[in-house]
Amino acid sequence: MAKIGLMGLWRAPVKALRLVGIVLGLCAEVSALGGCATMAEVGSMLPREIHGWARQGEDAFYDGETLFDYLDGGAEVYRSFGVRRVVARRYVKSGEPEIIADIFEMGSPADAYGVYHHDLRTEGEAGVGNESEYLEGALQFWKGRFFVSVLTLEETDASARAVLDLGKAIASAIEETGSPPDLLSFLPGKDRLAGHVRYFHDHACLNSYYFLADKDLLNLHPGTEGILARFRSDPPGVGEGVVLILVRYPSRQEAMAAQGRFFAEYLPEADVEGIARVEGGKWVGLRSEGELLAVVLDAGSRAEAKKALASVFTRGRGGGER
Amino acid sequence: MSDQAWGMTRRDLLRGAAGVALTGAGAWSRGEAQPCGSAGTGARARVVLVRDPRAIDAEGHVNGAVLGEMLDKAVTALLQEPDPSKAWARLFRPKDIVGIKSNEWTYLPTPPQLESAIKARLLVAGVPEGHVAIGDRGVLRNQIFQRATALINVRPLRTHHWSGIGGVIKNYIMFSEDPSSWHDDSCARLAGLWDLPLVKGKTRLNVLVMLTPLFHGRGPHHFNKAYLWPYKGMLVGTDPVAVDATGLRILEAKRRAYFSGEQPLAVSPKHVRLAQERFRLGVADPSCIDLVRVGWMEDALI
Repeated sequence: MAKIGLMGLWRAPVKALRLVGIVLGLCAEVSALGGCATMAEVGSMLPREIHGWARQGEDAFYDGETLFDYLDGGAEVYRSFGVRRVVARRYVKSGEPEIIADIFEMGSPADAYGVYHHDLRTEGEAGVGNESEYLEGALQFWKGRFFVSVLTLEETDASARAVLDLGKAIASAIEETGSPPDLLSFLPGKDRLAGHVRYFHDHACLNSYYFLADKDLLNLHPGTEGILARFRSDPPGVGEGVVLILVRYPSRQEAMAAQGRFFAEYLPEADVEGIARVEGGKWVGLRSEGELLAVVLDAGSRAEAKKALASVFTRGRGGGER
Repeated sequence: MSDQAWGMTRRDLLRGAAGVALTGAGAWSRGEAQPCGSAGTGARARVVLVRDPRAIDAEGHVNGAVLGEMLDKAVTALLQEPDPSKAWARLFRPKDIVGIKSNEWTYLPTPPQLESAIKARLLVAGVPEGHVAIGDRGVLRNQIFQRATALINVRPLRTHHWSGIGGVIKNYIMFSEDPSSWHDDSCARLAGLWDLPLVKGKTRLNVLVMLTPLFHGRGPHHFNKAYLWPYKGMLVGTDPVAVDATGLRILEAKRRAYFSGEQPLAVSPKHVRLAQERFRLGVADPSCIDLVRVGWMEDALI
């Protein structure tokens, strides 16, 4: 898709926002083939002014390679989810703290969801974009294939209002909505810990959420997608709850290969149902069906591990909350 | 990662010598008591926690003179040498070339007053001024760091979006020609930085700045003033793993208090644990760390 120059629209921010939204709506159709928003287009989603805060200096633009210059090691999170472009803008207002707005264009809505859920989301919904959280002057949300962060370095009544309204303005400029990963529909809803759901593609990301092994025992790669969720133990106990990892592979053969490797290298004593008691008295289980593989960890009992595995595949056959 | 993997699994750690829990140093539990040093590290580590309510004022201004006093108290307690000048002289000799590895992260840098206080003590110990440098991102281009015979590692403690925490272990990442190459598996191999030629065997002192630690963060900048707290302390030791592990325990305690319950870090700071278990860089097991408390201890959380 040809790049569309929109710089002339800076002078009419409201119209620009609406038009860029339309353009990006079209881009959403193409993005799966490689994306189409230019740096300038992503930047055009940012208003020049909000409640007296005005843009300061030039916007900064980054891609997956240069993002280290901006976020140091924190850039790895975004690289794991295939970040394409980032625009960062600073806003200033006399007598008020600075506001920093960052828009991350990810490879897909699922990846925008994944970046958003890299952090545990335990606060209430802020009502911006598809999912959002506002906490102590920091707003983050995702919508379409975009993850957005708006931050004031010091929360005041005025800066808090500006952060939220800036976020809403950006969200309204993103016409595409996008859906969360459909893999989520396999997760049991009962006893799931709110905010403790993570999405990932690769071993590094999974290991950052839950250290399983330094080797990639589940044969993960950019073409796999996974969900990690935590559930309350039954009965409630100490620790962080039961962990459920779901991975969808491009093929049944890959899922079977991962299952074989996991049993061989992590759970060789698994019984006929793929469950075993491990160190610390917890139970681990694995099961695969078709392209889907489920691992339960930190279960309090064999029955709990078996029940968690069964709940996933019941949903997979259309028997759950899909 | 595959060529750098060691074959360690979660189960190995659970059954390992330390019987370590996997959420952080504070959650460490020794299922079966093992002698300190069984992981191949020194038998025990000594870490000094020094705090002073005057270290920063209500507006957050740092009192450099007080920081200097805190440093002296920490070093004398660490070396069990009552005279500060003798204590510093035991750490550094006039012939040394000393790099003070600082940290210039925009939101929470090493306080310049602390850098100055450290440098002043090196000069008192007889190190020529021309043989002392303070640096962070430029250490690979700095001739003093290139020729250093000794290093002091000084940086603030904070939670980190990818490595769980940023502490003294991580602070040496700028000694690498390719810092991002250490990021894989959420920075699990950070302790390997300490084997780099510019670093190996040179660190005489680690100072984990706890004046206003960052105990929580969200989003790409992972910074919010609301999550700084005026702890007004420093952790000082020769074992970087013990220093970081102790700082992590304090962070975890603060998070429990602030969030009224367990609030796991977004990313497990496993590099601290692996620094002991895999790299044998030092001691992370709290039961093998002798914590010496000096000064003001109100709400010390440890």
